[in-house]
Amino acid sequence: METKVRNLTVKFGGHVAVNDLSLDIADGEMLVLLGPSGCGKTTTMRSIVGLQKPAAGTITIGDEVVFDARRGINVPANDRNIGMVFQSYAIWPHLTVAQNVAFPLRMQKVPKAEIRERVAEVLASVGLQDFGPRGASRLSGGQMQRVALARSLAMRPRMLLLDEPLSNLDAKLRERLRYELRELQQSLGMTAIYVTHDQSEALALADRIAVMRDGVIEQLAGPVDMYRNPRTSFVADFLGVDNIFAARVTGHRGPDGSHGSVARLDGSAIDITAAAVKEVGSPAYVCIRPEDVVLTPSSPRRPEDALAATVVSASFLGDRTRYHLAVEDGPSLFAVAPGAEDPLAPGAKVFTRVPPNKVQLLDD
Amino acid sequence: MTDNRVNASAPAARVLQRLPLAALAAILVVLVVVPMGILLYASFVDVPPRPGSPPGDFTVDNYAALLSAGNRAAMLNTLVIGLGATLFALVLGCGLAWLAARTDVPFKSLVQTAGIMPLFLSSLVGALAWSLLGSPEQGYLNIVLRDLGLPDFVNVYSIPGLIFVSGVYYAPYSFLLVYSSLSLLNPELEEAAYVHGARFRHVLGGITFKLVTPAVLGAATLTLVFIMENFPIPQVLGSPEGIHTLPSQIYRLMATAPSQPNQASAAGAILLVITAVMVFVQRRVLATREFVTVTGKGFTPRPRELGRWRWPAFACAMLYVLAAVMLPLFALVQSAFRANPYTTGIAAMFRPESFETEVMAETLESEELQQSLLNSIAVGAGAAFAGGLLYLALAYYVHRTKEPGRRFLSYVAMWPAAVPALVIGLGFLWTWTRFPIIYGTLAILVLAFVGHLLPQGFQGISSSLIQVHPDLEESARVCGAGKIRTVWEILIPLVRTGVIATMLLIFILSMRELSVAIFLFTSDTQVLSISIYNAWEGGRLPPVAAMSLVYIAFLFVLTFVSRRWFGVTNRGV
Repeated sequence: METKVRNLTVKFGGHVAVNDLSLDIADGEMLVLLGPSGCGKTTTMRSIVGLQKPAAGTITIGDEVVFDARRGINVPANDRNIGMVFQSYAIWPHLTVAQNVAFPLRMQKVPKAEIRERVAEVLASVGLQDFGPRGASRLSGGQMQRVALARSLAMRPRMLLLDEPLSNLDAKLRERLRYELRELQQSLGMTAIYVTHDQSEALALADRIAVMRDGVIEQLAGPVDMYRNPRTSFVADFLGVDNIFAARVTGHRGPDGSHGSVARLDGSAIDITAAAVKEVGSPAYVCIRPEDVVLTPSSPRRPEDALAATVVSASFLGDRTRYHLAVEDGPSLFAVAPGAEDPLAPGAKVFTRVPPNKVQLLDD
Repeated sequence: MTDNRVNASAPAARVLQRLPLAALAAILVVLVVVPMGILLYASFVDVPPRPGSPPGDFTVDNYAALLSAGNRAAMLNTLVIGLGATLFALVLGCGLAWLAARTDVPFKSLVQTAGIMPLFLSSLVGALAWSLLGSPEQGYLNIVLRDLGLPDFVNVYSIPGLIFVSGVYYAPYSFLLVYSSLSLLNPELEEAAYVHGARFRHVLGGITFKLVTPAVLGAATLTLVFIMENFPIPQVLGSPEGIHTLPSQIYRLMATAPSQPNQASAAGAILLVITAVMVFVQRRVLATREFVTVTGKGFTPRPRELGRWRWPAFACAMLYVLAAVMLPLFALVQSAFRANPYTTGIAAMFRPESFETEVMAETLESEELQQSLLNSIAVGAGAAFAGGLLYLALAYYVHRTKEPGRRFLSYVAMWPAAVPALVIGLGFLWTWTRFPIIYGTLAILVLAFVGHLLPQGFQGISSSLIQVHPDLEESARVCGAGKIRTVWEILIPLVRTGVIATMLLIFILSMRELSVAIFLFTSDTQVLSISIYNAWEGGRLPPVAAMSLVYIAFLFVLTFVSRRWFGVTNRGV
């Protein structure tokens, strides 16, 4: 269901955890809140579900105002009908799988026969059809995660909230459940908010991503757009840009100065050319993705674009190799070379080049 | 979890919201603050705080009187016995703990049981049994020594005797604390020391015991407090020779005519200050020396090989069992099952015809025993239920709500840990003599035990509440359950085991307690420990022994049942 958050502020004592945050979630949309721990993403989610009382703002789900600080409205969590999957799964160990899933239906006073039917149905939808009578404390992590999801879906919630639901699972299972989750959400047309600090999870799952920092949304965009055009170096850093250098714009390229800017990295004599045009003298962060760094063993044709570097270390990752390079009289640079060739040995001399249209000049 | 639908701006709603805090605070004030306040008041006036008596005039004479020679000796004895017995108890407890937790001593589980076995006996029964064993000349040990042609030198009616018996019966507390710490210690820390060239003795002193220092220090102060406030041991073993400690002196001031209740209150206040300071110091010491290396992770440590010391070590552990359990049981059986209380030698002790079941049968049939056993059960069950509910409500309020006053409540709930049991009894006496509905009934005993055991009960239930992840309750709220429904359907089933275990503990501890009840019973409300004590004071030793055996059997069954309960239900959840 369509959800509107307006001017949400949450305080813990004197600490402002969420600061005047506004956010719209469209019906059927999967919105990912992405950010480091302590950025306010979980607090925002807990405010929406009703487990945290905000200091100010309004929250509207569909047509119902569930929270309005000024009018003194605060619908308790048990009357909001929002499903939530907890990071710890919060599966009640004293109940069976079926009893866990049936709990929200009992609270809704659904007739017994119907409860049985709906529990079986939703357990089947998460692939746990035979697990009903099993004690909930004897499940693997992945199974618990599915039970938690089934329990939230069984109540037919207006919206589903997921708080880092995959973070306690091993990498392989995490990846598989990620796709299952996305497919289930899309097939049900469920409105969902997903909290995570894992950028690849965010990119894979989201219709839109909101990157949060210090209680405010730093950037809100679709995954492709955000990946291509991070608005700040903070967002870039969070989306896996490993090379971020403080710099200052020193000049422009091209006859009329419209072919890009030249930025000098702080503390070195290295100039990097970027396609964007920025005012001369302004500070900026030079952001380069490791996969955009081109390595050439011999001297390039246009040496003014290339930087000489030494291989510090190389880690072979199968389909690619990741290099840690030391640029001559400059900073460390991370580069990724595709392919399964033998990696270069530490100490090898290479030339690196970054196409100006792959260099971004961003604010902090 | 503040989720009131409408802001509580109306005064009535605000009052309603504060009701739980007001109720809990009022109960704690009545159970803890008022008795201590009246005790302190009584120590500064010249008339006892009794119904109908005038408020009295302010005076410091009660404290001045404490400087008399007798009282000074009592204070010195308290200190000497406290320190000596603590040291002895630490050596016993740490030694057994290390053997049981970290070595390949034979019959390891037996050694482990040895460490806690004396708890069944309680210090009252221990002291009574040791007076049978070690009284000068007539003690069984002296009879045996004489029979063997050796000098009969044993005398537990002495400072060394008091130190010995106190140390033996308080060693289990150091054992429990140090054992759990040692068995949680990551053995890799020791192995790392070996790898880096240390020898066994360096590792034991420089690593192992250094790492469990917080536990040892905690055990030391706890044991010191327990021994200094202990009343039965100095009363039974010290008073025959005029050796008094502060607790037995307080009792003497109250019980011998003319009684001096204001002076007794002043002595109680002094004892209270001493124990309170030590408990405070202990908390500070433990707070600053929390070593993170002792984790909750399970280890199967490689035991230290004792080599040729294996059996001698085992023999030492068994020597402790002999002194703490076997000899006392032997003495009680000797005394309870014979017609003639006088024994001449070893042969007479084991002669079949000198065994009689008459005293035991009489004791079992006596109304006194039956009534006091029933009273004990009633008081214990009452304290377990009333206390269990109170401790649960307190723990829920403190750990599961965000309401104000949580720090205050948990602070006051820990106070009784610093208050000697005898002083709690005295405070309750002064508080409730005005209310005959309570005073003179079993209810006052229940109230006193609920107050006295607040720290254990509150901590026991708190620790099982804390183990339940708040997510489990919050997910129930999200699933549509109200607050009360959540507590009933989720929280209570999850903490049930812990709550029952705590209630059983309260039951057992109140059954064992003598000091709290000694000022509060009447002839109709004698509990078992009081009946035993009264029989001892009346000099009727065979019935004392017989009742003690019944008492021990009862405590043993209770403890065994509850341990089984722990063992069975702690799994899974």
